[in-house]
Amino acid sequence: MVPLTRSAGRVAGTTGGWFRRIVRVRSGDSPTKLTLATALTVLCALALSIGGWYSIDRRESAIDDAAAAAQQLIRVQDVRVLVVQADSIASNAYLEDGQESRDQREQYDDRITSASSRLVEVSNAATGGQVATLEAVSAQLATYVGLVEQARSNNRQGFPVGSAYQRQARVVAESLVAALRSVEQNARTQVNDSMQRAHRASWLLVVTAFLLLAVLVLGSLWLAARWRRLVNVPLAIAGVITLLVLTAGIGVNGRAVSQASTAVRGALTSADLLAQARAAAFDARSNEALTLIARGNGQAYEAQWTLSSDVVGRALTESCERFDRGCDALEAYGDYTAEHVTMRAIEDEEGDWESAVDTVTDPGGALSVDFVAFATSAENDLALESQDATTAFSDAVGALGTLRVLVVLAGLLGAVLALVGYGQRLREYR
Amino acid sequence: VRRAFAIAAALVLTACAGDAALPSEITGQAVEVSAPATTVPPQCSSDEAAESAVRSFEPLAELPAPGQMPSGSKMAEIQDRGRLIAGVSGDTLLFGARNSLTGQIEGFDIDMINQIATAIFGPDDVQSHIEYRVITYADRLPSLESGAVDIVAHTMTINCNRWLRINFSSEYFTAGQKVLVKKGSGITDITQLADQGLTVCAPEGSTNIDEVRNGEEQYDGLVVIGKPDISDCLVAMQQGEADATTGDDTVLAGFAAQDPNTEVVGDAFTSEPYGLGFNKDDIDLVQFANAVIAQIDADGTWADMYQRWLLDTGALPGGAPPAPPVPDYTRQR
Repeated sequence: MVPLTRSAGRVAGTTGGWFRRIVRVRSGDSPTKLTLATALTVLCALALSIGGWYSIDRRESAIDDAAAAAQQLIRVQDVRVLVVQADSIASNAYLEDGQESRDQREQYDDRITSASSRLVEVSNAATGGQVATLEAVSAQLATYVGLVEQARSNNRQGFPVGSAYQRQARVVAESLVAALRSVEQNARTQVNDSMQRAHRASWLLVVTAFLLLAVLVLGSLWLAARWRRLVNVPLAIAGVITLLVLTAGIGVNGRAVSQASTAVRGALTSADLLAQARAAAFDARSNEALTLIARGNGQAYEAQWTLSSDVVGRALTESCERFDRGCDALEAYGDYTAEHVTMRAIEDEEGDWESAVDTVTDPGGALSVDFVAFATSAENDLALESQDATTAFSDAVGALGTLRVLVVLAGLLGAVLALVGYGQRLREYR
Repeated sequence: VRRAFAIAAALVLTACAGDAALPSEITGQAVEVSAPATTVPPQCSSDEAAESAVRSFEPLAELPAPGQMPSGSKMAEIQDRGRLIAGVSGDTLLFGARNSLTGQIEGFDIDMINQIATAIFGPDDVQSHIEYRVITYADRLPSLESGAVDIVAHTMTINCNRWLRINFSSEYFTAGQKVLVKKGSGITDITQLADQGLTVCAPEGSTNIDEVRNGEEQYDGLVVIGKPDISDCLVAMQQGEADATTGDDTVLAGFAAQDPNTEVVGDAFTSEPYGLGFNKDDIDLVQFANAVIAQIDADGTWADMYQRWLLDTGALPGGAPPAPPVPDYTRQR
């Protein structure tokens, strides 16, 4: 019981001490009150410097993260497109009975080389869970290339076992593409998370600026009432600067996040849709060749063609309707689809496999021409949208660096002006 | 102060409004592909199994002239359609494989299809009257049962269980099951593979895999892996997944030709009589095919085919083609 009583006594004593000090300040002399007001204002001004700097830094960092994730998304999609393009070329070359043209070989090698080097860039920029997946993708790409080489070399020698290697290569390609899609989805999630952080990041700047403004206004009113001065000029200037910083800060901050949001909702979403359409279209082209390689037994590949073409149609329709991009590509893919249906009828209804193969492999035929028109148009639109997204993100953070310096300077200047403003009154008591 | 606060609050709200988010990836609408039936295949009773499996139906007494197939027959249906739909292998060298230089499928089985098509349509531009559908081992019976193809020529062994699902022609070739191993492995027959607990590959749905999975005690100890097609077994060997492949000697000879690091060893441990496969309802087409087979046996065409695909290529030893298998036409409708 005794310790408890003593402890209660100490608490009561401490509380009483604080209370007495507050009462003494309230009823205390003016110099003490001026000193306390000066200290409070300087603290609030320094809080604006530090809090404002931190707040802007968080926003800039969040927008930078969103931009980096967007870049990663674009890079990964580029790798996916290169891989499915390479697979499409390899499948079509296999269909041409080992008579692979030099052009085809060069195109295949170019896509694989580009995919490998882009994969290194993607791996270097990978974060968290992406790293392990991308390591597996690199290994799978090497396996894929080995299997295609085996298929090609057997095919060239007239060995039918090449078709078994081609089937295996396809299985590896599908697994590789699925892994890249998971990395893409991870990058999309990172973009969205970063944008949410960017939206939340401005509160500290607003709170500290309001606090300083309130302290300056109340201080000015108190000085005016107590010392019968209409305006304390230094405090008034500090108030105006704080108000300007608050307005500019919210404006620039808002503009930055608004630009980043526009980039995400606009160019980046459009680029994402166009990249998905391109990857799905080359996958469809690959399945078109595999259906013919399976010769009459390729229903599963044709079903996959339908699935991929559905993705192409939906992605391009959305991009065209919302962003006015991909409209020409959509039209060209429609023409290609019509040619594909005609080609399938040649094999399925007329049983003329050779003519169906000729239709697919003829580089000057309508089917190939329409597909190339689609691929070129989609590639051009994608390049434009990717560039727009990159520029928009860069512009978004451009003014934040200047704002950060201004906020820090404004806080420091506010502190100095508070010292000067209250100092004028304090000097009257010396 | 109140006004400034209101303006600032409005600006903050404006800055925070309208969260931007990338939509998820677009996924396509799946298309249903009919899956192969997974029911347990019917099995012959012991009495049925005791009878000779190679018995087929009596051939037509006289082959109708090409282009004049009897009305209402399966042959007439094919003639009216303008093409014979044939299920074949695309990667069994010597029997049914795509020639990578010409793009054409060729081999002993393909020549059998050519003979049937020639008998229906005549010799002029016969290739335009054939639609080849490349099928796997496992697809051979289902594609006939579903009516997707008229005929299957795919190194298919005639046996009792298969007769319960499809019809066969008379035997047109006699093969035997052997093993393909890596050269220098020291393996000389399948019992050594079993004794050493090695891995052997065979195509699913084949009599070859049934033999080593459900066969005699001499195969105990073998680790058996199944693949969709027998060419996948050669890949499995080349990639080190399998130590050996078991299959018909004819098919394995084609593998040894494709991979000089492999060799066919040991005696045949089964007899594999090949027959052309037909739908269970198409007995008239079986009788027609049997008449064609009898004709090519008699006029030397069969011997020419044997010479071209199996002797000239060095796949099988021998200086001259053997006699064709003796047909057995004692099966009743």
